[in-house]
Amino acid sequence: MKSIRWYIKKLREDVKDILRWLMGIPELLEKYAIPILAVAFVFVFPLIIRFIIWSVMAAKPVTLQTDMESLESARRKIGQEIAALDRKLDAKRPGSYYLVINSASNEFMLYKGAEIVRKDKCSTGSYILLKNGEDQQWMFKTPKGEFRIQHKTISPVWKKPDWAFIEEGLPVPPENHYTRFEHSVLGDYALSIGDGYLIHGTLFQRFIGLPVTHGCIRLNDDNLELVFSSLQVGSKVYIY
Amino acid sequence: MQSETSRTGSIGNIKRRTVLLLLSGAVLLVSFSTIALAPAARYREYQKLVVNLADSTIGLHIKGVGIHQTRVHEFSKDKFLERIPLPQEIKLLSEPLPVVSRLATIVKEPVVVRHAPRDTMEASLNVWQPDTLVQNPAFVSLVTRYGLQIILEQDTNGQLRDHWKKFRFHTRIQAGKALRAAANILRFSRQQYQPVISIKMPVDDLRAIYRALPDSTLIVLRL
Repeated sequence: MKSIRWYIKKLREDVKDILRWLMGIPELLEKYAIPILAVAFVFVFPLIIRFIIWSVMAAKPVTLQTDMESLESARRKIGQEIAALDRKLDAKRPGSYYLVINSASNEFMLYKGAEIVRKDKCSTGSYILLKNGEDQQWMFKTPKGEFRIQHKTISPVWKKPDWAFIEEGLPVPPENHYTRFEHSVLGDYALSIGDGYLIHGTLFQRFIGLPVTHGCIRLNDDNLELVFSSLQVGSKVYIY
Repeated sequence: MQSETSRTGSIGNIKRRTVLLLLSGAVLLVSFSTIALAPAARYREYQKLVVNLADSTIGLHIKGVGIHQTRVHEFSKDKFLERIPLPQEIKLLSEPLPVVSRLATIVKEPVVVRHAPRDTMEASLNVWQPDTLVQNPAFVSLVTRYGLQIILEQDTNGQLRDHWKKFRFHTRIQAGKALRAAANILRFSRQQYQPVISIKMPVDDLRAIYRALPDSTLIVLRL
């Protein structure tokens, strides 16, 4: 086993070696001055130039040689253009009632002009792709975009399409078979937005707020009544 | 008599020629206008994302009607965009910018494939979970024309999963940039500078906006 003195002695020797090596650096520098300078030039000089370009020649705002009067008139003109564009945008907003449906958070907002009349939960498409073999498939998603109310129905009757039977594992009946017609499953009212998509009520009120529909928009009874009385045929419905 | 007939014949020919000329002109006009307006028509019906950094808001518009608006909690924009002179800014952003590429940690349409059950017993066993109950952390990157990158991030990262997803998302973006830079070096082509705008917003709004945006969407940006 080595003593502590031995370790101290070794450490001293190492320190002496390091000091000797450090003392020799000026000599080394003197000896290899030209190669060291060349390397420094090759590596450091481009960096210095790049730094100068970044700091001194960086993009600065272009100052236009113009007097205050013309600047003011230009600003006034831009202000007028912005005001005109704002008016144009405001004119695009429907003045009467319209419905906005958020299919990601399953919420709807009933507007009258810029004012929100009602904001509450609704149910939209489940994004289920139902496959029946290789030939048949249905995608249950709510379409997005701008729509208009096509027609309104009181006490609607649901004529079940083929997928409603296939989804439940039932045989598909003929076209106008009595089993296709179901009363009161769509609630008291229905508003059509085209292509078979409806805004309607439901028996399963506990699912309101979840994406569970086959593409239609389901509302609870109170909201459905308000929406039905507010929206007229031709009223706009925005779905996103 | 003969001369009259020949005159009427020649007048008839001229008329026919004029009608044919007008018809071909109309066909040309229609085809030219169709070709010219095709790119505009591609975007006309779609939703627009309005990013207003001056007012700290992000909105979604359909045909000019604002249907969704949310406040931006925090944002950072590239120094290039801070220093850009006003004439260039007007030139760059006076028109909506089409999105050329996108990257996101959430899916646009959370499609669940279900096979039709054979009988009612199988149908009753076929249970599924609505998408809103399974929500991934939301981070979205939209690259517009002129290479402007807009990164939309959820403002709260409470769980370790959120941080991990954020790390992976940013690593993927940076790795893509590094690869492009390396490819440019190898090809001796000029490096491209990509100004970045990073925006933090509520996760529900981010999810709603991203899912609402169609493939060919436009972004209106106000710095």
